[in-house]
Amino acid sequence: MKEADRFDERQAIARAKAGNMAFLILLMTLFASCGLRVRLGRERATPGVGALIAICPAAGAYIARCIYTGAFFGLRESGRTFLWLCVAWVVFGAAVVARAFSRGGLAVDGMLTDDCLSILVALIYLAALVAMALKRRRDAREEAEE
Amino acid sequence: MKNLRLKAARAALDLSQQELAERVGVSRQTINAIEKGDYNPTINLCLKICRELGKTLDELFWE
Repeated sequence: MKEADRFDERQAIARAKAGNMAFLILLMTLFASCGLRVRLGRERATPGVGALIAICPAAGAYIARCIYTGAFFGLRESGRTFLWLCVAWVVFGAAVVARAFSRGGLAVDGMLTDDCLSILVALIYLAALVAMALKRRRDAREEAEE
Repeated sequence: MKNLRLKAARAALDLSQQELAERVGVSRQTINAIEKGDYNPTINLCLKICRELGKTLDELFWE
């Protein structure tokens, strides 16, 4: 691996902590998903959509925390591209929300649709944008204090 | 606990956190975290920093 590709020791620890946090969130969402299934007495989404919906909060938390601690590779290597990717996904998510509610909601026959998944992915990118903004503000404050 | 000795040694050589970070091979945030006392570096990183600043471990990192 190229020298520039490696994370330094603090970043590696930050990524590990983010991974731990994501794992715990994933466990909680899986428990919540199982509990919801028991309460409803049926599935709330098709198997593929349901699994990905359960993963999204953990993935979002991991990405946001890595970005905030300066341990996100994509941001370091191509920050502007990643920023525009986030903006594009958030705009797309907003469009999906508008379309879904114009059609009557996110569920069809009581089952969550793919639109719900698209919205959750857009929320992940929104979390990334917020993390980037917070990190930028903190970096500016640190550089001013230097 | 803040590492003011590290900050002073860096300032004495007129190095910014970014410059020191590049010389040592870490990110600027890592140097900042060490100076603020938010992160305890490994011995290897301590040695690299001491080498760049021309100081000993005792002078920069030991109580």
